Amino acid sequence: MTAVIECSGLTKFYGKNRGISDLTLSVDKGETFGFLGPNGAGKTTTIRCLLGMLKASSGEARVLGERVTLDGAKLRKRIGYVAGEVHLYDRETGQWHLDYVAGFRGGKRLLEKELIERFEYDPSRKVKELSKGNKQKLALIIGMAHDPGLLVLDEPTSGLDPLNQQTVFEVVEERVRAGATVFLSSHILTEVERLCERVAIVREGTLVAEESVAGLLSRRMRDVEVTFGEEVPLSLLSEIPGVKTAEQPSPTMLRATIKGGDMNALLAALASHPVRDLQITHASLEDVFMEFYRDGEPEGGEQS
Amino acid sequence: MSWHLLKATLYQRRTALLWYSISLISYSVMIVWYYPIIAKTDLKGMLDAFPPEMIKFFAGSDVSLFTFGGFLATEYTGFIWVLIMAAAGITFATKSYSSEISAGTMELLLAQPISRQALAVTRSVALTIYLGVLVLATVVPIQITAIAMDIKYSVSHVWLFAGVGLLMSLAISGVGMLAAAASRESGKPAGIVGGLLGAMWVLNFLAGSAKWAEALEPVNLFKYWDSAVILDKGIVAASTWWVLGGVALATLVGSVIVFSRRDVA
Repeated sequence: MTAVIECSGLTKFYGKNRGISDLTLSVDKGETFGFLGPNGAGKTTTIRCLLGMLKASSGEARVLGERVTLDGAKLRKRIGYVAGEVHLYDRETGQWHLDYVAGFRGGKRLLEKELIERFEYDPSRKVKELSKGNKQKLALIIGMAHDPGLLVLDEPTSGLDPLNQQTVFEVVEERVRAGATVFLSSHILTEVERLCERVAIVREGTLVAEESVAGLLSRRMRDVEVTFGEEVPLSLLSEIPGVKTAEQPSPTMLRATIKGGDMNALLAALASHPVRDLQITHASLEDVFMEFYRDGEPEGGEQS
Repeated sequence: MSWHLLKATLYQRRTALLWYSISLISYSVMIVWYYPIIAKTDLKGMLDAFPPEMIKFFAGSDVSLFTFGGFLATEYTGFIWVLIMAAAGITFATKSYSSEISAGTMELLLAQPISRQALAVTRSVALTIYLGVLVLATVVPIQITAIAMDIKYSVSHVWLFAGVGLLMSLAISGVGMLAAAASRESGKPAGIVGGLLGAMWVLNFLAGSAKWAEALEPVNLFKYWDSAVILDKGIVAASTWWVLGGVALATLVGSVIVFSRRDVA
């Protein structure tokens, strides 16, 4: 696989304040890569370093095979960017903005008309008259109208209603099918879960995990609920290695949250009693995400 | 340079350009229209009683108030016009860089395929055109009104004034561009340049009476601005061209270099 984004030891300090520290990650061509972290974790700093808006204090970033510099005009021709906080020119219309950005790209606006229709956006209105959702739609159209090979999306569905969120998901999935690579920074974990194949989690400027969404979920928490055909002690589950919490709602029912991929100990314990019903659910990505932040220190994950 | 950005930049400044132009046209017409009335009055004796420093403070020159150039300089081009041009230029400068950064719209621009150098050079060219239009909004109405009022004036002196005036405006605005290119706050560059200009103006006034102020004159832009002499005699010292041109060029080039190397976020 060809790497579209490569960060190697990327570090950015604002004076003495940390932005990101020693960030190393790689995003392959055609991949939808999620970039997760709470406010102030360094997500936007990373994106701005990748786009050449900020100069890295040390380390290197390569995007689409080119080393990122402050002056990467040629590189930005192939990138579509939707900023986390949408800032537009209030006095100008949406159409003015579309013409403005298209002018820098040699008039390239392959998807503009289609996106306007799909988002049901009216480009004739001035930005100052637009709702937050409509500004977000305009930002999305601006970022994607030239059909870029790399989409860098920072909270792309912020302020959108569920219908338009769905449209964003569909458009992103279509772009990926057409060969585009997506770097998605988001707080909305359901959208990351839906769109992304791999995620990186940053905390206080440092990468704490980078792996596939499926892998992250499968090796994380499971909620187990078992109904037995007879009374059982709570210790049946609470003493299994990896059990984080266990409770007994009734004498014949046990509930537990189990961390880790090894289910054999659980199955062995269950086999010693008649089981009437068994329900095992994976923790959501949100639960996984929270696990990384709950106690200040990440409890697991792999750094690469 | 980017023609597309140049057009967009000037388009975005259209309202400010319109209002500054209307102000300058109105002021120019009003002052020239008023000149024949003043020229006929017998205020010369009273004005002779003023110290030359006072006249210089307002006119930037010690030439007579009763010549066309002297009158324009005292009432308009010596002080007020410079203030208007400085305000227009400094506002343009902050809107070119620091205001866009603080408003977040610079991020939209920098996400487009345009190099930092091209962006900054385009902003400087746009500033030159913008100020050029304002200079025209000054000198064209002056000449039209002078012709209409049958006032004798030198066309070449007025165009010479336009040239030096543009250079003076560019020198002041260039300092603004440099400060704005280095800043992320919209008001700070205007404050810095405004303070610097105020200090220069006071120094220019004090230079006639205080030795220490006189010693600082070579670095004072206002020393090189004598619109009365330009309009009446058509004389511009070589040092005026060099200093004003040098400051304008150095600060605009400086703004390109600073903006090309800084973090923008």
